[in-house]
Amino acid sequence: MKSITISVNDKKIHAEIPAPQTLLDFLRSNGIMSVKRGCESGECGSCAVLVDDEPRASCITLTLQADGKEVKTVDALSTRPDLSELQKRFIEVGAIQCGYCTPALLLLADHYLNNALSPSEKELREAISGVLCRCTGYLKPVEAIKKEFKAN
Amino acid sequence: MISSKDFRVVGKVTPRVDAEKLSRGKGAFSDDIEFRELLHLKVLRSPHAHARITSIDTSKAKALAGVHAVLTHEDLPRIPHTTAGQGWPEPSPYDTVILDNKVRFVGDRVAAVAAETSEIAEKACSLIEVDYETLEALFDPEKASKPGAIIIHDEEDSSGIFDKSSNIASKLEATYGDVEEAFKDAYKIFEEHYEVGYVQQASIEPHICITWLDEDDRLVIRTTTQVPFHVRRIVANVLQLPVKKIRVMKPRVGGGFGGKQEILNEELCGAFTMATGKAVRYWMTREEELHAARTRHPQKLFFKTAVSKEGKILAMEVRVIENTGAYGTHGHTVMTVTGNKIFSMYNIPNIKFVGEAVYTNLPVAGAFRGYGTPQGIFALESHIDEIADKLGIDQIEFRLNNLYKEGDSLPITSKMAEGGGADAQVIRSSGLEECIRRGAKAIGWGSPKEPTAVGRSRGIGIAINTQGSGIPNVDMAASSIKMNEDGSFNLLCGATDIGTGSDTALAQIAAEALCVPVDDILIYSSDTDMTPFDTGAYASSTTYISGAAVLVAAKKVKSQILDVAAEMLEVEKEHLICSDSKVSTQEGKIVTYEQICLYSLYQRNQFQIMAVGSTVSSESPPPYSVVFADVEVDDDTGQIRLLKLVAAVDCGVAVNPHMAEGQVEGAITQGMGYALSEFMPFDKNGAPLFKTFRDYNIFRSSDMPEIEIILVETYEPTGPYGAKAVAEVPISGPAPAIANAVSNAVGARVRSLPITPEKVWKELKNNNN
Amino acid sequence: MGLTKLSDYYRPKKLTEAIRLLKENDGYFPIGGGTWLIPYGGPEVRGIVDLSEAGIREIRLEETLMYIGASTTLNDLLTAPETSSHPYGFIRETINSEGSTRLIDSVSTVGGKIALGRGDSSFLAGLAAIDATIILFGKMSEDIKLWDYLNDSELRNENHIISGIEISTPENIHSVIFESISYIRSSPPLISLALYLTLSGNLIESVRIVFSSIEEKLVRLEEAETMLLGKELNDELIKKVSALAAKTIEPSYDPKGSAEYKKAMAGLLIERSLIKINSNRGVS
Repeated sequence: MKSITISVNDKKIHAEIPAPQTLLDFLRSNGIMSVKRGCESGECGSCAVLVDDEPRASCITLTLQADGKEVKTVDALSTRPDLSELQKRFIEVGAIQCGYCTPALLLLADHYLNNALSPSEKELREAISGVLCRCTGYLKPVEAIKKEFKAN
Repeated sequence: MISSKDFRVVGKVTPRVDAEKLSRGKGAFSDDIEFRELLHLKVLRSPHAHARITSIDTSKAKALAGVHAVLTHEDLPRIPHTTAGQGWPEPSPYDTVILDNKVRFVGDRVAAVAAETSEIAEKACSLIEVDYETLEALFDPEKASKPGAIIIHDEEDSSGIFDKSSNIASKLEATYGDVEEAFKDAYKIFEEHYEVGYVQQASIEPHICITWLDEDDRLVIRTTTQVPFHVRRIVANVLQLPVKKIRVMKPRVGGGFGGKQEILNEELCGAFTMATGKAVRYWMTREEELHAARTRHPQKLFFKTAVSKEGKILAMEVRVIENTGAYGTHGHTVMTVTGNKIFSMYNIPNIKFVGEAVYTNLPVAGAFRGYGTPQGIFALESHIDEIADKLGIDQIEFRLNNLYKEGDSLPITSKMAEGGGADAQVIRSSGLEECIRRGAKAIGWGSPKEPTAVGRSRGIGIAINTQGSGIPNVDMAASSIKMNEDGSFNLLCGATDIGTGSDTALAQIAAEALCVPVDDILIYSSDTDMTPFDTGAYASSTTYISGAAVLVAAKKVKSQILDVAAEMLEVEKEHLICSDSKVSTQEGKIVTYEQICLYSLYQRNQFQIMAVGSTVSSESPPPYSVVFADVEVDDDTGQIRLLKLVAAVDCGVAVNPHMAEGQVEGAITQGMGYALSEFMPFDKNGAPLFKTFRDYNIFRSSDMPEIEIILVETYEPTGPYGAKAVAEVPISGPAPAIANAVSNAVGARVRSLPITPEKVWKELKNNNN
Repeated sequence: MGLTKLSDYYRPKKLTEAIRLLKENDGYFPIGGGTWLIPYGGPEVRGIVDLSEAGIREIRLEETLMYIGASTTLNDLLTAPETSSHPYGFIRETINSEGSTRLIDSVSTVGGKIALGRGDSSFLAGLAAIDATIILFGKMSEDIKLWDYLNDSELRNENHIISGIEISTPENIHSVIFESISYIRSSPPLISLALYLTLSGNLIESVRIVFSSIEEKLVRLEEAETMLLGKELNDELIKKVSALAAKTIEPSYDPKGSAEYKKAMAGLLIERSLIKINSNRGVS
């Protein structure tokens, strides 16, 4: 077992964890259900998180790699009862279908919007390309995110 | 004519009732609950395509610390059943047992272990010693049905198989008119064949199932399913439990696309809970999904078509050889739909359809969005395009010349239907021609665009198709509506929202009928203990069938509301008007829903305002989809780049336009994958070669071409508020539209899927020789 | 499978510390982002030495060189201003053809890609074509050409750390050509070609032809390179080289494209690239 301290959405978690544990398992066992398991090889992206503000697939990240770092999930995007503007846009344009990849898409889109100097649709499509969505064809999610970068 | 303009809620943009929790990533899915004690299930899968298990020794596995149970075919009774989540009695053969002494494809179940961690369970699986007597394996359905081929289902207790000895799971024939005669008189006859292979639903949420015993010792199954009531019935049979001992809960489902219309894990998980008394979780890895979940049925389709000098199709004969894989689940019905939809497009007086679903030692095919239609339509619409080409007639004109029109009846629907005995479907609403017209305009039909670079060619293609709205006389749905003191309503539906948004659409229908905002409808779906029955989310049935059930219940509830209001206002019921959560008299006297409910519960002649609605439909009105593709092809490498796709769809009145568009967008994206990137190869021993999403390529956001969606509204008189189905119909168009566009661009006709650079290159080479 | 025997994890701040850990402990493996080792590693992995904070994540332009630290992620390269245009624009092209995803690229590192040395890496093919030099830490001979490194299995098995790579600035914008064929944009290529060529006057001064997605390892066409060296590019020579390429390569089994197709495409891509260079001659 290994001792770790990870700040998850600004809350420090100290824990004893087995060395092979993935960050995905760590987060889910700590009640963060917004990170989803879809492939366990990083390709579907539904487990995406930010570690020190960098996107990562948590299913191919060891909890130990995040030790001492800050992990952010979609749960940090808004506080109850309000939703973030981006979440509202997703709802407004109908960008959510089954909702399984939605947290990952929202998180990566939010990260892109926070970092892009001059956002473009092409770059945006690249930025979220690590998240597979089998329901929407990405049309409405992209529309929602574009509205948000036009709004700002 | 009635249209969406006449409605208050239906046909209007309405946010999804579940959007907020999903946008927050709340733990709403099957796997998102925690247990103090939970066993993890792993399945030992067959390395052989075809083998008999001669001995199986689990002693080492059982001895491993942390292992709670190991089950093999020796531990469980043989109850032949089908894994197809279909209505009873299922039209699929009973050719499967929970664990068998024979394996029929690489990835078939051999044994399973429940242990304290999935690592221990996996380790224990590797300690199970199995001796196999390997058998010759069959991978080609045409060879598998030849005399002398080894028999895949040689067990004695299976039933419902058309001919075990020739590996034919099901056979289908339909005919009307006189094809032979028509061929004699034809101006020209065209013969061609087409082939489509294995692809997978690939929902991003894998199959996950958790089972436990509740405090009353009843088996609770929390699972990713499209068919909770079929799960309950089939698991009860397989585990020999009374139905009343089982409760199936469907939480949020992360996409189904047909892959979850299957009893894939629930019986096994349940067997372990029954054996250990503990909660058991089974989560299929992506590799297991790709190897052992369900797929689309591969088919080979042979067409022979006669046309007149005037460009009328006189006769069409279609022969289908379908590969159903190692088990026959959905094999018969998928093939039925293939034939049904091939012959629901063009008014052809003489037709013949022959189909055989054949067993092979390859993965099991099942239900997948479109359900036989994508296979049939790829072939049909490629074939139609080839004929138009050869006759020198414009592709659209040739189609328009031959289409079924509004008011026509579809003779094929009385010849080939699940459940049999249906009347010929009459087309009561069709926006097909308008879809063609508007789609053609959007893609720029007739005004070819320049390629974007030297060495490439550009082309446009069209494909049209239909689907059904539920299965006539088979699909049945029920829902209940109960009024609350604040004028809100609990709507309980057996209908199964698997991410499609049906909860929202059904809530809209209830809200429309009850004259309340959608917010005041609290919908819950689905739980076999709590919600009325529904056959499930498949066959594009939810809006049309389940929506009608909601409408029936809502109308009954509204009538009860008016009864109470009449008593309160001392006015004849007939003179009352409902609007905005209140009832008013013509003189302007008003009682609110809140007052009505309080009165009905607490004041006089108390009763619960509540009703159940139940429907079955004798009709299955056809929605229509028209897809246009604009592609660019590299003249030398054959590499294809899709530039634009237009999909024009007639789904009647779109109850929720955003969600209807979303269905179209998702379906065409899957359709593009079918066309260009998705397939499942096997090695010479039948072992699947693809293990991850790096191999199995589904479209990413960066792969998407420009997309234009056009909803062409019609009013379907038999549907709730004019609605028809939308979920499946758009998936079939992209593959043939792209094939036709590639042919239009470079003259390469690819007659199999996916359309790869190499196939195009080969055709180009053939053309040059 | 899985990292069932993993018990130790270190994230050293210095390469000296990292190399010490690797040398002193059997079953210790270095990782950049771990995007391969974590999902696909097995019980042989006892310890992981995470190089992400060892001070080797940087991109530096020097006069005629670009230095890329081994912990630089592919996403760093995709977003760095240094690769936004010629002469280093080919780096982005090759990364975009990896058949990877942006989410994985934001973690996987240059060092990790080299250590894996996969034959289907367009990115490696690009680096090999431009003759990148690898800087090794913990070895006597510290610098080695990427191509030689990839082909020196003995060296690759020894304990060392790839600390970075150096790329000489290509002479002109037309000297590196990257071509690839795939089903759809994001899917792994069926075949990719990275070709580097410089001229002295009208004569070919140097040339490297590297294919990916042909075999387990990258394929370099040295025979074709020899054929081109010192010659003037003309249609006849181009045809000859392209025919040689189609003849020489021996693609291993790939369900997405047959050997016959890949051979034909190898010839075609070379022909295309050389024609492009030929038609751009004199322009820089």
